[in-house]
Amino acid sequence: MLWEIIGVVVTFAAVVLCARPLGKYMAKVFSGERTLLSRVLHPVERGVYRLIGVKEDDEQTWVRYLAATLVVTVVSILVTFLLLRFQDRLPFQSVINPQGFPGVAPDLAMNTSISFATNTNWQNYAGEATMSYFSQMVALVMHNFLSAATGLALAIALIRGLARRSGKTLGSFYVDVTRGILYVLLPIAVIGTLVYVSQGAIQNFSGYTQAHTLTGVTQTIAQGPVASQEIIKDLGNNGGGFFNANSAHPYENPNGFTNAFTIFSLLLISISLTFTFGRMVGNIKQGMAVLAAMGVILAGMTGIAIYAEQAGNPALNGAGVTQVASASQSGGNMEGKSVRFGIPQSSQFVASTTGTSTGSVDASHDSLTALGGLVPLLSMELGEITPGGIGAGLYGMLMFVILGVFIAGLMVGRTPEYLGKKIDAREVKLAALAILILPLSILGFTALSVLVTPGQVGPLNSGPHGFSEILYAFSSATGNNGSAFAGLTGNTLYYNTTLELAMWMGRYLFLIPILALAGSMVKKKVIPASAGTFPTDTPLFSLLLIGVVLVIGALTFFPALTLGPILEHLQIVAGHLH
Amino acid sequence: MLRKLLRELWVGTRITLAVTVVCGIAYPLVMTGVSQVAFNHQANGSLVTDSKGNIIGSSLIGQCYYKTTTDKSGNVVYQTSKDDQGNTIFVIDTRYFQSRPSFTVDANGKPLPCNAANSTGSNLAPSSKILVSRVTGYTDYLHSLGVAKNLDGSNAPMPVDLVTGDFTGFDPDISEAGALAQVAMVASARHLDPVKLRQVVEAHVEGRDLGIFGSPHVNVLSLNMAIDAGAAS
Repeated sequence: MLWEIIGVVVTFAAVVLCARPLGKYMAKVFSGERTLLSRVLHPVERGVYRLIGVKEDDEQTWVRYLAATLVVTVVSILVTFLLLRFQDRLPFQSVINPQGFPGVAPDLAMNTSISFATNTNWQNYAGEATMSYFSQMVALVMHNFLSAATGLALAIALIRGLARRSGKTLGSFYVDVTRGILYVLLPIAVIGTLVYVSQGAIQNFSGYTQAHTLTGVTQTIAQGPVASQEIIKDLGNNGGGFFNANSAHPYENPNGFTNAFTIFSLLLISISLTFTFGRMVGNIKQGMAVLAAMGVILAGMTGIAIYAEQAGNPALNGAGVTQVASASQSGGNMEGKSVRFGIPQSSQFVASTTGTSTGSVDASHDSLTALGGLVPLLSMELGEITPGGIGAGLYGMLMFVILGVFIAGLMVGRTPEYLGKKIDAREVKLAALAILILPLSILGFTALSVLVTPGQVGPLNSGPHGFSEILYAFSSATGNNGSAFAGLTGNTLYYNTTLELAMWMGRYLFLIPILALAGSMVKKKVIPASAGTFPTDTPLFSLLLIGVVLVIGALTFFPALTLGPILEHLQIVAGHLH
Repeated sequence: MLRKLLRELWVGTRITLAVTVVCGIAYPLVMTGVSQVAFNHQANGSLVTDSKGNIIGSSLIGQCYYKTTTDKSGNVVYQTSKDDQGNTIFVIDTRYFQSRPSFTVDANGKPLPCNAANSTGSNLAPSSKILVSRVTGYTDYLHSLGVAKNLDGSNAPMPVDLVTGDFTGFDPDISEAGALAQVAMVASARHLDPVKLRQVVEAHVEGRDLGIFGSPHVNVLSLNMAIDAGAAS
């Protein structure tokens, strides 16, 4: 137990240690400065610009930047939709579709395309029983790179808005996406694939293996090009597993080391971006103050999850089992968890995958204890800012920063300012608008679903947990997370459609005010700090930021959480089961 | 305006295609090539073969150890029975250390435990009556077979991992406590010395990776293969 907690701490520490150099590297990449890889990659980069018809210095205003983002998203959704729909009509079926899976149904194909394009990767299908190798490798992995690079690009655009000393443009979306993929995602993915394969993750195009087991029964074992998808799924905070069981599947995540590596990968870029931010605005401490707030909440969530899961399920106390940890067993709530990971690491995974927008899972979230299940729900509902999805975490957190600065400004009675730029009514309204999109979508769709029959028939479990399954689905879709209380039957016309809408709102309705804010901030002149300036690079500001995040999140979602996990916990303790 | 939009559309299409070719085709193919050369065994699923070269399974994928029977079409299938509540259960083959319970199904939705072509967990809530009665019933069944017994023959608490399922339906591992609890059952079915068998189990305990990552565990397939090969005789 102690050693496992040390493993948890070491994993977090490794991320922070690597984040500073990677953050600095990304700042250089997106500023177009020379880096270690420029020698090899710069000619490739220029070739790409020629191929796609883009000039490196053709900068875009916020409106054009947004338009480019939307255009690329819509085109990529169409490409994926067609590839999935007709996966059985493409050539070379015996290689790319050895299991002979039919074309994906239209509503599922559309849900999946939008899901992957919005970086959500909500999956209403079981990968190994639905998708051909080609669909997984091309139609889905393409999005894993593209949607991740899009998030990264948008964060960089917002940083430029804050950092530039008066201007009009935020950079070029096409250039930022190209650089994000070439210099950041692909090199790490190449190394990461080999790390996974060396440990036992698979990477092949064989048909499913027929094994003659010890007892004589034939066991069919799914195969495929898994490792190359695994690393970008985590690094890019996508989360869509090759297999239905996602990172719990030994072919995706063979052992405790790869599990730690997965947690490391899914936190790495978001944490690094706080250093990129600090460097690009010219004060590394600005980024560290934001990181501190993210880190405190993430550590707290991890602690709660470990505590709740290790305590076990009180409902099993009379079942003749022992859930107490000892030298020879991890104990705790083991339903839905793998023995090789144990409780602390599985719990760290839960907090990390929902504190980011990843949505990979190495355990069944639906079978978490009531309070353990509260952790992913709340992490997603706070807006996935601890440290959040690739890019999305930073731009989400900066909205809370604007609100925090505004509240601090009210307290000292001065016009609020951030990084030397005045925050006016327009910016505060835009930030508030962005933050309000989340409850609108999450609570709105949840309320709708408990009122109409097609929504009510979704949950597997009854009682408060059934409500939690619905609340979780819309929290996950809106937050572009993709993890699930997987008992919910989501592959219906109703859920395919409503979840699609929630994913759109969570990604693009959220984005419009953010880019608008970047567009208005970039025009502002920098004014020197005065005695009335509230410093935003101190621990005091980190504390204020934590307060703002928790107060807004708690006030908005506490009533819904009370009806779900909190009520469930009280009922279990009182012996009331469903 | 329209011309500008069409231009963006054309650029957007080209960048999507470029990403598709580079990240969707070139990258996975190159990684497959490198993996097949550098880590051939792992990349192909860490398959385990017998002395004749037949594939027995994968060291990473758990198997079920139930008694078997032959169905109408001549296939070897797991033997089922009814428990006290009338639920269908699979009959445990007491000669083998048991993996964790599995709730996977076949393509028609019928129970097919340890189906490694359709991974899934139970997804039951902690407050689920079905979960509690399933765990209680299976614990009773294991106790009746001599798993987790005190020296005086009374029931000892069952290690929780033995009666709960993971998220895949084929967890390759059980805890050390879960394996030790089964020593008496297997020893009696195979007429082996329990002390010797216990030593074999302890030799199969794998520690945490690098001493800190994950949890210690026993790989059930490798343990059962060792015992089939006479390791405890």
